[in-house]
Amino acid sequence: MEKLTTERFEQLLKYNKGKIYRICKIYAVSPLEPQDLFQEVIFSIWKSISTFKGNSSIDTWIYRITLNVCLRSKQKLEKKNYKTVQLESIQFVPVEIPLDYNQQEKYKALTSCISILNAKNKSIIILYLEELKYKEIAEITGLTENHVAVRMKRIKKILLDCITNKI
Amino acid sequence: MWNNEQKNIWQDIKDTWNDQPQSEKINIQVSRLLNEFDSKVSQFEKDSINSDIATLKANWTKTKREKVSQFEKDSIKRDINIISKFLKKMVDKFRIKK
Repeated sequence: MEKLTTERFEQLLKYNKGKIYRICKIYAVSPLEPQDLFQEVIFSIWKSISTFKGNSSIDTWIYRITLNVCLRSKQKLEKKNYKTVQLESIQFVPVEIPLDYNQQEKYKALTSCISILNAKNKSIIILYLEELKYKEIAEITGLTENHVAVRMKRIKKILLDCITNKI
Repeated sequence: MWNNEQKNIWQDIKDTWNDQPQSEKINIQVSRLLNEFDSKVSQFEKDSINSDIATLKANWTKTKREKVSQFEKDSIKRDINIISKFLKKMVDKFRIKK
């Protein structure tokens, strides 16, 4: 069981916030914004940290929580009185970056192609792009390593076809 | 086997994911955040539970209540009557024994 100190939590967030936000951007569907999902994920991590038993790495565990929250958000949105948690201590500050049109178009094409995948395959490809090993992907998704490898072959083909058509 | 062009595209996909445009910087004030969690958790949990109960109630009304047939309702009523009569008899017997 993980004992949470402010320093430990700060370290955890500092190291993982970027990847959590990358995943939230994929799963956020209007009216939910990636920022809303991000806050939900951080809240869930805080609530569940006491259940972390150290059987997997903390990174793997954070990916699992993030994907669970993101996947559940769609069902929760269907509820009438669903409200997202609003945390004032998390701020999203717009960054002035030089626009790389080519890179933006590629990213749009990639996210659009990922969105055509089913929920399981979407989780697998996100974890793969995050450079997790098949073993870790299997741990998070509950599939066997072999199953992940087989699925990855199919997913790669679908993505390649889709992206080649778009770019 | 993949040809070189496919390999290049796949590498490009990986690069695109890793170098995705960062249009926002995320600032988190952790000690304030922990206080915020503590203050929010009870109300948030209450809201979630209330929302879940509302959904369950609505679903129950829609699905289960309408599915209970008149026959089942009559049967339950009959069974309750039988049980009540039996209990009453038992209680009476105990009273007489006293």
